[in-house]
Amino acid sequence: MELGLVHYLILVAILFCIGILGLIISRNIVKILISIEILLNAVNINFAAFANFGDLDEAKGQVFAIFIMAIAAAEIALGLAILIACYNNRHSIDIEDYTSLKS
Amino acid sequence: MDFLLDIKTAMLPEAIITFTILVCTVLCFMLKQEKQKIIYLISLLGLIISLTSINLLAANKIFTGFYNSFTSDFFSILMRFLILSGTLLVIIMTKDYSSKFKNRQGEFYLLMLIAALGALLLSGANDLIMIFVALEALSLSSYALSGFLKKDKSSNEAALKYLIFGGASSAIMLYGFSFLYGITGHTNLTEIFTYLANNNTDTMLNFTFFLIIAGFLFKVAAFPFQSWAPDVYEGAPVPVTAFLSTVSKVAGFAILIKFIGLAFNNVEIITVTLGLIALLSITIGNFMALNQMNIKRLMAYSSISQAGFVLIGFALLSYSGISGAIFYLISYLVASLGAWLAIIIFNTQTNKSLISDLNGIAYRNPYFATCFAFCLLSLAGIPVTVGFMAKFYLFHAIVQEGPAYLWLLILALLNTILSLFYYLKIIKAMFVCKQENESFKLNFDAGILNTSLVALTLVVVLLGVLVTPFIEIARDSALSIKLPVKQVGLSR
Repeated sequence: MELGLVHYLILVAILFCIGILGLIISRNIVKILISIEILLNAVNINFAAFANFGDLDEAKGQVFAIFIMAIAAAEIALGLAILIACYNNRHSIDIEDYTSLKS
Repeated sequence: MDFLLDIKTAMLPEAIITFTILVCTVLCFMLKQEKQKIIYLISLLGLIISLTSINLLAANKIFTGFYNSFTSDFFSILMRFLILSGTLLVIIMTKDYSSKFKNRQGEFYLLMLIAALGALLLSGANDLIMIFVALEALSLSSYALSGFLKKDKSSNEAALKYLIFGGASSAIMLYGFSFLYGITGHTNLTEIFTYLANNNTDTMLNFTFFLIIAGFLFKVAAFPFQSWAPDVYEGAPVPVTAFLSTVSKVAGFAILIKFIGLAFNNVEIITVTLGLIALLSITIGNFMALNQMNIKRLMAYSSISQAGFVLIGFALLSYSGISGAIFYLISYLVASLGAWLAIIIFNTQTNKSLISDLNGIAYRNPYFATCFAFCLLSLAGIPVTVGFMAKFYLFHAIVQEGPAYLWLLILALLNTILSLFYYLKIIKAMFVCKQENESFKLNFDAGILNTSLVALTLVVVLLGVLVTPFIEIARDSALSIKLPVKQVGLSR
């Protein structure tokens, strides 16, 4: 069986579901940041697959994937910086402890 | 030198803001902490120059540059004007508040300018890559800004929640982008729309449309993605909250309008869904706002419901609806900036943010209370203010669409009445309730904050009276976005 576009799309859909599931069920904030990273990398695979099967001349999908990688790195760096600031104040990385903002 | 020519004709405000950012970056490193107040003045100067440079852009023709990734039409010029004046007012707001930032004042203005740059680029972006990068420039600096009070627990928590929600929703939006790229094979919006007009696309496009608007609904805090707004608005520093509820919303709507064009292969489903999203945001925002004690939290729910009203204009999928939405956006921006200015004057001087703290303030500060009350009445949509005209124009657009949208009209009207309750609650606290134990008097002199509050109140009233030219501006800007929209009820 040859690997086609559909196989990539299914892989991406599965990865995306894993990412969303991780966002919903994990309590550890580092795990939540990892889930966001999984989501963004799933999208990267989607772009690369579409560029490979439909748009070989210009490969705009691959260019897009590089942009996503750069910005995802920035986002996670910022997320970890914010997490460190939070940890200095509360000494916890459990999302259940961050409930001071509630009506 | 095509590149320089492109900048001169289409991106002059952005170029000036970029230059200001570079200057501020250098100054941040060079100046001692106690001298960083000068960065405040420099960023104000940069914003004012950039605002005046908008006049130099050609308003009557559509310009595309940078390999078609940026369009400068009348709509984007209007949006850039709104974004720049909003940022200018937000930076003015920080004049006294910035002492809370201890020794990191320079960075605050730097991040604020980067966020403004992202919003400016977003309002003219015409390429999926450009949209993504501009949106993230806006988002990332907003995350950092909302956590700016490092030692403050609620500010930390706000930044963390904002980042997690924002990261997830931008990933969902990118998933939509990837399908749009897969279906059409282009990343340029103009080419995508040409492709969609000439090819018969499948139902996958609807799925893609909803994935994409997820990212923008998050930015404007509309229904399925509204839950971050109250927490972040409450925890973030007040100027940042004002920025999030005005400038960042305008940028979100400016880019959402461009994607409305995707909807035209399946009008029925998308109209009904967008209408439902709009109604649910209005209703949820109103009901949650009813029993809030904190002004910042109340304004957060109020901004959710106001975003719903703008979305009604989009749900109509017609030029009259979109021009109604644009005019509503202008009125929301003016009134909400005024309300935030009043809140920040109160918060900086008293360090309180409950509604009951405002009790009887009208007896000691009648001018302050009157200005605040006018802004709130405009948000509620009472005649003489601009909010009434905006709601009237929007409902007029719904009526023009015929009886199919009657449900939208009736429920929106009912919600308008409902929203009066919580706006009047603040006004009642200021004008009717007796003051409690301690009495304080706000310092309401001729400072820049108070002057701008009075000026905004005047704008709110004047726009409500002299409304015709502004409705024409909204209509012209709606027409300048070349959308495949049905031309209903537009006498032109």
